[in-house]
Amino acid sequence: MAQGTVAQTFALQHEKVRPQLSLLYQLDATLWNEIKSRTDIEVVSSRPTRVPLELLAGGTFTSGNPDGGDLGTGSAPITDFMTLVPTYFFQCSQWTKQAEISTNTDQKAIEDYSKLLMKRAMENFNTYMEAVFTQGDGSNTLDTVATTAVVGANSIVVNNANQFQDQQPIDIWTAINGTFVETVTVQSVDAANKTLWLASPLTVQATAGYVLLVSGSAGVSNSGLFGLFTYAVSTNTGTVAGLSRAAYPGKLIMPHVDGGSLTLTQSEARRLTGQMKIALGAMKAVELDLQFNMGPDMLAAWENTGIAVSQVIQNQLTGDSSQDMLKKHTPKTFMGYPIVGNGEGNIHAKQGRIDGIALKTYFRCENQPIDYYEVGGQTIFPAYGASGGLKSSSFFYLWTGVQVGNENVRAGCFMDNIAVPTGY
Amino acid sequence: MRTPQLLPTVPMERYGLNPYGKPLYRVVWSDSRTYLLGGNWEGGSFEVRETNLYEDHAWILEKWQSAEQFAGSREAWDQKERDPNTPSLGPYPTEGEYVFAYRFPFEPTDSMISIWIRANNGTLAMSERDRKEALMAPLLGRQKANHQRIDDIFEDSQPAFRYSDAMVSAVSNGNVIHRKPSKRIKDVYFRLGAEDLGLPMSDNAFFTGEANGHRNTR
Repeated sequence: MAQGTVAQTFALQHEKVRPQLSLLYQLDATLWNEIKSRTDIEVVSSRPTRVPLELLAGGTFTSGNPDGGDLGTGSAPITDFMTLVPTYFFQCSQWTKQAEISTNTDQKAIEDYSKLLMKRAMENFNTYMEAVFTQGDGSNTLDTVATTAVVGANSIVVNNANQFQDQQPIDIWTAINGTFVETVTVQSVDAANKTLWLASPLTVQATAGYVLLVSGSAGVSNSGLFGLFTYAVSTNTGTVAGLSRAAYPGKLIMPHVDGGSLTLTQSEARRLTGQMKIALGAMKAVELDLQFNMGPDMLAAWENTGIAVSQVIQNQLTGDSSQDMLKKHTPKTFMGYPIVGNGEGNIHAKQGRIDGIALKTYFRCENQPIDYYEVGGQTIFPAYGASGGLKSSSFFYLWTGVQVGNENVRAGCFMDNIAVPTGY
Repeated sequence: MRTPQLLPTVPMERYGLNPYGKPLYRVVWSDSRTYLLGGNWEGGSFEVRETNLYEDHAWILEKWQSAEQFAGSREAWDQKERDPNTPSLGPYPTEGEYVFAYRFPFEPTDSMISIWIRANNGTLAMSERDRKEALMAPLLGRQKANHQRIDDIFEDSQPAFRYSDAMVSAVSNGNVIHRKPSKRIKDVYFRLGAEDLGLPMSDNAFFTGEANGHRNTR
């Protein structure tokens, strides 16, 4: 005779499922949303869009002799054009029929899985676009390898893991215009440790400095989305949207200050905004809707300069109308200019870097807005098995064809190589 | 250089003095505040210009910082000044410098100034850990709000009774009513026409019906 232990009661016990689904990964699209909502959208065909620019002034001004002297010949303004070609991104989501029917009512599950998948897909897509734009150098670069990962390693350390998402395939290249290394799939993003855990080990070494691209990218300059770093270049080399910077020295570069690996100070911030004033002259940055893009590390560096009021402290202020007024008008600013994301910054921003973005100079050329891929009114497609029959699996695509232009590259500024505070 | 135009009514000494006997905080009119900025203005040759520090027109709270706080070490400053690719801010500010702290939405009251200074002191007293949490909290809050927004958009796009048996059509066969459950919304027969709804036709006040040239809906 055996006594009744707990094991004999398992058949009777209720199993509790917590009715809330907790989200454990980062999704955020700060800057891309700003570009979407605050700038012009041009609807274009798949043919290149020309952006005409008056780049060089004309007219030959000389001193001459009106008494039969040779007055010389003249010159005229020189125009040229940027070329913007839409670049296309796709995102496929797939699930099985069993997953769908096992969760499609409240009696079966706390959340309808196929609906959850569709909701998350929209958010994922925006987050991917944010990543490509915020650190985009025109080749769909997301980040670089921070520490060499040898063959067999199942993780890669990067500079900002928020640039990636779980289950994302990424292409490793030795450099832009370099050699393709391999495609790896991210199993899980460990943002706190700046680590990408891989679904399978590396078969080729990923050396520090190798670039990580959106899978399927050509690995060639100016073949992808023209992101922030496409335009934020301070040297007269290379091309921008088809224009040679060397052909128009100083006209297609962005004001820049090297942080020199030093701690951010107020004087450095003044040099940065000063650099833009020098470039633009009388044009006012505030009229160009200048905002500053920075991550939590630079927000902390800026607060360390001693002139901030934390949101936490603001929340502790209660009482009279003066306090209310102060709270309403104290968004985080950089030298008085707004910081993106309503002062909260951008988790996709490159560490140790602050970008001054004149939003009014940016615009989008859109051949295909973000939407479901559609064939004859159908957006969800069945998969087919090896037999030729249906497979109990469905999928859909979100896609877009878009390019980002900037009509005045000099209207902006950036500072890089700034010391990152400890803990970020 | 112009002298900063100070708010005349509020004695700022009460918030402390710097080692040079000047107030730690001051309120200035933005247009009066200038600084020296050297560089190749608009692509020309090197030139130092007296430049407005602020672009808009407002009362600004400024906070004094020591030379070290404002500019870092003299060596780093001098190195920057020698770099032709970096704007010049002139000589090392040995007596420190006043920097932007807050833009008032209107002429400030004494209590607004006092509150900002108190809040700033509270911020400076926070630990690094608390500061990081304070920076990350709104980012995470925004993420949560975005989730909710997308959930709402998605739910709004869904038909109210999709996959639900709440919508049924009743088919009468003598005295027996057969219910057909699990109808999709497009399958449900809606009675929308006047004829379907049994409204008076032809000679009513609305002049509907075939007699008035209107084709019946069904």
